[in-house]
Amino acid sequence: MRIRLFESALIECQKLGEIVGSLHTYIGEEAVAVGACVALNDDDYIAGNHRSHGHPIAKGGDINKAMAEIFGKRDGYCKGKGGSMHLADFSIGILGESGIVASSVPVATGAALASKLKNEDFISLVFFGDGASNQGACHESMNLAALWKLPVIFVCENNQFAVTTSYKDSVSVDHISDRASAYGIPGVLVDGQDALAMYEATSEAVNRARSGQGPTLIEGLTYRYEDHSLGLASVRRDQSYRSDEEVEKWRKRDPIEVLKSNMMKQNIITQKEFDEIEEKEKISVEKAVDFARKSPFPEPKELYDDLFTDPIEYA
Amino acid sequence: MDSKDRDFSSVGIIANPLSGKDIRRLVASASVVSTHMKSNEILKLYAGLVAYGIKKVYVMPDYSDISRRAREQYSEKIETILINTNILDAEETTIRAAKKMEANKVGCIIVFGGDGTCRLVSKHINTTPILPVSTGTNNLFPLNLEGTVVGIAAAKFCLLKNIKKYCTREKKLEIYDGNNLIDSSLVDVVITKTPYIGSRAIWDIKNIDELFIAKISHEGIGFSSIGYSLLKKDLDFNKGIHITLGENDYNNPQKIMSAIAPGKIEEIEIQGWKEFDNNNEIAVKLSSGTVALDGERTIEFSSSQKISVKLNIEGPYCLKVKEILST
Repeated sequence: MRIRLFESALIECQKLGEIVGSLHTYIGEEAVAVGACVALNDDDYIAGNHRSHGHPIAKGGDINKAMAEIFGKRDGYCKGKGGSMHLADFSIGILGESGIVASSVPVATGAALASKLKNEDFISLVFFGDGASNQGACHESMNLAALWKLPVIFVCENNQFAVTTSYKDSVSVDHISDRASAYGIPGVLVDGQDALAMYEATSEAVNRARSGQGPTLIEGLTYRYEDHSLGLASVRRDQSYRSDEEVEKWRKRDPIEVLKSNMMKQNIITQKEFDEIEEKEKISVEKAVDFARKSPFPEPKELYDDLFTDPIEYA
Repeated sequence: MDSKDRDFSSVGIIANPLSGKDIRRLVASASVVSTHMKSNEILKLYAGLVAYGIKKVYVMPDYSDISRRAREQYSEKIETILINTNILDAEETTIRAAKKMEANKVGCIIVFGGDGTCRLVSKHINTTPILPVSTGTNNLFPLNLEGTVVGIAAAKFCLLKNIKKYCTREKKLEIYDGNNLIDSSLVDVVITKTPYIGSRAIWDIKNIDELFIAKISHEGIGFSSIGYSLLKKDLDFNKGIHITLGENDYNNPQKIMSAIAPGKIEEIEIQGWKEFDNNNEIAVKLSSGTVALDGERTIEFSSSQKISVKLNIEGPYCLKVKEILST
């Protein structure tokens, strides 16, 4: 719910011209991040991708800082110099994201290697898309992670399109999780619209990683409701890409509705309580927008600050 | 059952594209059943069908187009009709395909999948015989048969045109909510304490409260294997077995070892068990939880519902492969 409202607010702010640059919304895919992150500890690491506002929020990130960062403001996670694809918070295990497709996969694998070499208990988890699954960095990471039995979980968010290319036209197997057997690791296909299904699968992968049995590949089959990105030259929907009927079909299995309906059926929540949560989250997102608007832009003289570590200091 | 009005020059094929990929690859040692493997089985199936004169095949479509290689290779020898289901890779696809195959009175339907796929098909047909073939996990209902043999068996069955002689009627377990029949299963019904369907599969014995089993085998794995571990022989056809798990009240607790998933053998404490007869309806003890049908959590139930299970020996008609192949 928080992710959905956060992203919806961003779309409005982008329309008002308050956010410059590209903006890749996560609406429709929320159950993947939520189900996966709930299974992690605070000190476990996650890494994301270009469509990653939802991941740090699911990990418990501060939406004020996230919103300010996307606005390019000084109070943002990276002091406004990273933007939409760089919402890092090491204090709660958010390693950050990257616009370079699949580049976070070796980053998370490296974090898992660090955990193993230092004999630590933390694990890492990386979210990547169906397009990224075809990149060499992804294959190389899975190969080494399997070989070295690293505590890393590869979560492929198969939203079915790399920009406008269907995964059916670009992935050589029918399900990305099938590839796991080539690395000798478990691969699981999960309903990515169901947060509980994602939670169950990730929990088991966490147990496996923490007990030294190595990596797991989880494919959450999901769907992005919006087009690839806002702010770039508009990527139009046409017949060769996807139809309105297809989008509508997926909207009918909305991840928030799936979870809400399940919780109501089990008498865990009432409609009134759900409405109250929604109202509370709306207020906190409005406050985040307000926080971002009021935060100053970084000064031009700060341009190179925080970009490089002094190599001499660490020599 | 009458063989006269059936079109024995045609068969139906339903291959579940999603079987063999669920969470049991992670929580147990189940193998991935790749789409390529399924496609290969269908290619071999076509060889058998063509060799014994089948002229027309109705196929359930899927995103992966599992039947494409077979259709292309045998396009001049057999007509393939892809059924228009309007929806792909969903339970509804299987249901619509099964119904249309029955409406077209095919000689038989060949089902590639697991217990769950067979359950879904048999639930939505009345009299069409099925040949269930395993491409899933923990399967007891479908047979482990090679694709060519499947094709030969299905085609020879169509030549023999005698359902009464070359089919056997399987049994099923029916699930009721009050007086309403809400679902059915072919092998087992597992009552779990887990309140949601989630990833569907069941693997944690601690979450299981009761089992109702229609079919057991000495070589079976999955929750039905608990039944064989207790009974130590096959069930009579008109019997089921009802097992309650958990600590019992006696000083001599009954514990058994059972293979509940591939590579997963558990020690299980049995509170009590007994065989039950056809048409005997047994109320579920838990007031809320989920009902897993043939290995998949399918029904969430709450205290407002009254769930019960009944054995019905009038289940689907299945081909007697050994008898057919020996003609």
